[in-house]
Amino acid sequence: MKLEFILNDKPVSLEVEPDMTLLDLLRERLQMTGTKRSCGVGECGACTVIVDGEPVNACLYLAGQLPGRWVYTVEGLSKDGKLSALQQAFLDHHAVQCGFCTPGMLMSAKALLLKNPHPTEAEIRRALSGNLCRCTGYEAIVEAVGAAAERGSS
Amino acid sequence: MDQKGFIRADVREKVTGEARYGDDLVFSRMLYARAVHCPHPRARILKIDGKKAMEIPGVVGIYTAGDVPGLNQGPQDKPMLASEIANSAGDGVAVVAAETQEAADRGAALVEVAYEPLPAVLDPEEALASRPPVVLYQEDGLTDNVACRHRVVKGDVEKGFREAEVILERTYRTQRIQHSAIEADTAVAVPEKDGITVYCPCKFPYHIKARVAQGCGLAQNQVRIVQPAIGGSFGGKDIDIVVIAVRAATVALRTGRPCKMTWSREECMQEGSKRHPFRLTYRVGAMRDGRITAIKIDGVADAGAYRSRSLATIWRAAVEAAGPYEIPNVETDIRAAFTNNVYSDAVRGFGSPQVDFASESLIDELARELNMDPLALRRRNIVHEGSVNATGQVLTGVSIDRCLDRLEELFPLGEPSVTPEGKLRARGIACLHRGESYGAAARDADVAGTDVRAFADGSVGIYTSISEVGQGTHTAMAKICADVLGLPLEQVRVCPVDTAFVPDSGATAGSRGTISGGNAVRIAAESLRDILRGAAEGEEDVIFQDGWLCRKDGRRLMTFREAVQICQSRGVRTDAAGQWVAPRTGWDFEKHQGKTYYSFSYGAAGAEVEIDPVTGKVEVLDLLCLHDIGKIVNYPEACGQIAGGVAMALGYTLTEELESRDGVLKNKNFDTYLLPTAMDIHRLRAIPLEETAAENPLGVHGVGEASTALVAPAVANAIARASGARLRTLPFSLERVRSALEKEER
Repeated sequence: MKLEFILNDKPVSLEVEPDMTLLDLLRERLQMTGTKRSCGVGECGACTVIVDGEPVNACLYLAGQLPGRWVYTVEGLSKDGKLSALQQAFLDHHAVQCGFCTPGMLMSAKALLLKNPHPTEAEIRRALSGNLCRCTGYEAIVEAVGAAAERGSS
Repeated sequence: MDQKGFIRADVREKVTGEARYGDDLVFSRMLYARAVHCPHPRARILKIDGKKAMEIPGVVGIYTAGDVPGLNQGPQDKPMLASEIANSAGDGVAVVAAETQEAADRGAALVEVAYEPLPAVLDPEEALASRPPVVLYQEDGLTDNVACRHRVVKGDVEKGFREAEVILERTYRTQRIQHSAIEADTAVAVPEKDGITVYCPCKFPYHIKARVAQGCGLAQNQVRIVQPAIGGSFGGKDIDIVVIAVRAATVALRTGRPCKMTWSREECMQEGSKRHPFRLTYRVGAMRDGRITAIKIDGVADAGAYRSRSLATIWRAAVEAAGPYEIPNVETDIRAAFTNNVYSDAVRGFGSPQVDFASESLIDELARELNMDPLALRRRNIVHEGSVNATGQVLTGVSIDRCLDRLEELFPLGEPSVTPEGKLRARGIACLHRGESYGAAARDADVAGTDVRAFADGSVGIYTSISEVGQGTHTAMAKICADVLGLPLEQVRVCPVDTAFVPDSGATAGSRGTISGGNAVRIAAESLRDILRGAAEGEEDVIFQDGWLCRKDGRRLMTFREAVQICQSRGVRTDAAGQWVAPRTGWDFEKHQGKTYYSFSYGAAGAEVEIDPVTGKVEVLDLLCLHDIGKIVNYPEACGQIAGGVAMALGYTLTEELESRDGVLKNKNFDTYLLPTAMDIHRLRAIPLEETAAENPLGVHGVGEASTALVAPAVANAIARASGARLRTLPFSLERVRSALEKEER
């Protein structure tokens, strides 16, 4: 099928099989490898991207669902080489260790802050509960998201 | 103590998605591979028929054990591909290579393998019985299934039990878990004119290099291992990566094309190595005043089908099993059994989490029996400066007393907390000693090489094969080097790990990265500093600070860059090698005594739990974990190491368990194998202490592993204090908690 959608604010048009996953589309077709593959069944959140404002697992989302939608990936977070407040907060709060869950974490956090710019800690934990991290124990990540929210409000 | 620390060099690319991990790599004409796995715990492979698989468009070849160019299997080692007999379910028996991953997957599903299922032994106790149903390695001359056995003997336990006024015997069991790095194991093999390059995440590049050379029938100077960004290790990404790398290399060498093999999550779960499950039976004798007179420990671990790093795991378990206590009479005997279960290997902590769960639960059980406060009982028995531990080693640098002081101050056991209606709440504690680095029984020499080079622009590169698996060790090394050379951190960089350029620094294991790698960097940087001093001829006492060479009074002589250029213009090399050689240790295998580790680290933890007696659900409301790590290089990252270990240990305590039916694992992915999420952690306080400088030039202790060992006993002890119910089998699932509570009510 011919597929047209918006990826990180740029229109994309290409020919794909409708049952191709968004994850394969990003990683294999478009060579955008920032979005990670880990469990393949929607449990770990490493492949989280934002579609029309909602966080989705790209490993379960099919290309056939994409026409006309707005997709954001980790590659769309920084602008002109400048980190977003959320990315900077992950650095400042030591929220990154191996970094493999980080792109998905960032996208889940971004989706939360889009909808709820001033989340409570419990809301942050809930929003990140679909993203597994084996390194950090989550504390630093939760702090980073909270700090980014605060900075956004100031 | 500087608690602010500094931001790591590797994280910027990790928040932008630019960091390239193994599975992100693509090479021209690259093939993709998928393995075919044995569905039986033990089976003879009769026939492998790839005809149907070869009909799938894009499939280019099917490879079996006979195609592995070099050594397919060493004695009792995991084979690259099972040849005649597969010894555990999940073992790879063939590899399908194709133009796309999809074609490789479809091909692998169509390979027809005829098996003759053979009798298997799945219970480690049964495997060690005098007449086991199966002896796995009869053909290697083995007459039993003992993979390894380690003993510790001190004093006379029978005498100690005769003196005792109270004797307690308890059995504890721990389960099989998995590293579960979020990055799946992967390797890309690229054939070269005269050898092979393998891009892979790993924790011990020179081990991978040696084993890939062996598997490919190449000399080690023909094999190059390159590390991309690494998505977590937790003790894994070692032998599993050897296997994957040799499989990919087999395809690459047979086809002349690059080949990527990335395990699916299901393959990681089914074939990847696991933490050894243990059964530990403790008999302890004590006086009414709490003084422990004797302890006798009998343990059996499940090594699974292959040897791997069972030796180091079982030895560590035996050394540490009696806990951080000075006990006059000790006898420990731990055996690991070969079974037809998936093989066990190092998992963050080696054998510590298993024995610490048992020994620290036991101390609380003894405290209850003696009607003593658990902290007071610990204080009565803990080791002190100059104590002789269970293996006869005289201890120095002991700080467990101060760890317990801090624990009491920050986490008072008796602190009453408001308990909601219908729930039970209480606190529990635990403490530990932990041997650092490899220890005396290791086959690998405990050494680390590092090169440091200064370039003409004044920048400095560090060459090490200590691996950045996510723990921040490369930035710590850069900081250590920058401090010696008086440079800003930004001017020093750890170069990518590539065995074509970096020396062998040993394994990033045993929490030795900063101790061994860091001290090696310090030695190399000091040598480089001595070389560069030569640029300031005629000057004495030249010091290096703020990017300058200065007189002692601070007067600037020349910039660091000028010093490098002057040396180079005179034909002097501006690089230096550092070699860290760990202090000697030794083990007497006849007397079961010795200097086991060159140093120990100490820590303590507290947990507050809330139990719902109706569902059996345990919430860990508060976790406090403190570890004396000597000199702290980067405080927030040290906190991160402890916090991560604690979270991993929380999974070990409550939810993580690989279950099998008839020798086949039932959990295949993260939907049934449950890692802790952000919702499972309520309050976590990770506190690194700088109590005692470790006995190495940097004064650093390891920080990676100890925090994985204390959560299970602290939670078990809290549950017992809340409810009276004692859980002796991990994990504390809803069913186990409910049934323990019911038993307590009866």
